[in-house]
Amino acid sequence: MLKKIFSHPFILSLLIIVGLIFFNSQGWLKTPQDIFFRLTGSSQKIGYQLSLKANNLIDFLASINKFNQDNIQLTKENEELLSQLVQLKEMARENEFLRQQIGLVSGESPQLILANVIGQNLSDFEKCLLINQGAKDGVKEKAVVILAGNFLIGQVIEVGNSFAKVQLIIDPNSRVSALIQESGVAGLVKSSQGLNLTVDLIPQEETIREGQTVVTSGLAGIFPSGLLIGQISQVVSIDVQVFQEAKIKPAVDFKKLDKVFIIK
Amino acid sequence: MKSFFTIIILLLAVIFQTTLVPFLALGGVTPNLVLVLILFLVIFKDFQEIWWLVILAGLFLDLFSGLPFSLISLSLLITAYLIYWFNRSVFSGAKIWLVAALIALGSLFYNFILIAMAKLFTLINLSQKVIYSNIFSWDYLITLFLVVAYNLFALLLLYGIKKIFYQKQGARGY
Repeated sequence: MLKKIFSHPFILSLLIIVGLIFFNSQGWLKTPQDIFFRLTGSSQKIGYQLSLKANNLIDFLASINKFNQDNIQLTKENEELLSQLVQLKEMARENEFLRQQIGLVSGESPQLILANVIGQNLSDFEKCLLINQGAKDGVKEKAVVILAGNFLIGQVIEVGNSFAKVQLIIDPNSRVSALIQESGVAGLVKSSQGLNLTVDLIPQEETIREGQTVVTSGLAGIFPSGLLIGQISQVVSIDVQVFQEAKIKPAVDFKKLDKVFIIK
Repeated sequence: MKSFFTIIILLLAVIFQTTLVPFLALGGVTPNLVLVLILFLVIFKDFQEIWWLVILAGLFLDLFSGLPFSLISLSLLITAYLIYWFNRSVFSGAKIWLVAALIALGSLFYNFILIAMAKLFTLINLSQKVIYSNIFSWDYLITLFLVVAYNLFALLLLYGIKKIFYQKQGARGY
């Protein structure tokens, strides 16, 4: 009777999976996992790069008609940014001078590890990346992952010897302490439908506007402050609610990630 | 030899799922090719013959996933067996609309079981990951609807490939 129960394919499969859960909890699956990614890593990388290139080509062909309009808009934005850059350079110079006057040492820039994205898991339940750098390269669990230019991508959630998994900020289970740069109002950034983000827990009395920049606040101690998350695209404020929220247009196109940096 | 090729095809499907499929996302939703493939096999074959394939597919997906290890294997196994049971006991047949109904049902089961299991894993301390997703939120239900639609589209593609393959075999006189 007992033999019949245990030879049932469903029960047998369940027992195998329970066994694997036990092996994994003991850390005995780390080496097989690593061997698997070493064997499949190169084909993963080639597959991902080809898909990325095909996607870029399709996007390019689809946007040919918009080029002229985009060009005018980007030229205008470029002029505005240039004037802002001049102001910022002047402020940085003044800042450096004042720091020297009061004897403050400039903060050291963090050490970064460059990694290639070799796979994505953008399912409806999780948004995660697979990168080709792991513990042997100095990647640690909970390390922050960014894109060149201080754009926040996510956080390392699992590290193998030669690979790591990164939970993106658009993952439904990700939460980031943030603030709106222009007003200094703090909030909590979380994922909303699809590849979008919202900033929540903003008191009703605070004024927020479309186009304002959302950056990490560094409050929870997980993400360093000042990393760019995105710009507010729509404010959702209902009088009867204690907090207001705003939709964010992410600064990063999460579908086109190729190379990322891990902050050591 | 046949088993070896099956494993390679499954592995290729998983690599395809984690490299090309993310670029096909619409509104952040992607089709789950591996789930559709496994459900397709469950509908047309005996569970006794393919149970090991279900575990293997789940394990491959688990390796690429950021979710607690074996969560996908468990969800895939339970879903596959439920669909197998439905197909044998409630409604069976090889008509496309029946297969589509089973795939839609399987997609719903899979996503519900995945969240329920993830919450259970956190509850019994098998995982430290906090799961915020709520099965009954509008956001989630809309996503689920899109997932079902996308998986049905993937099924149509699979059905088309199967038809072309069998037609070619027929033309060669197999």
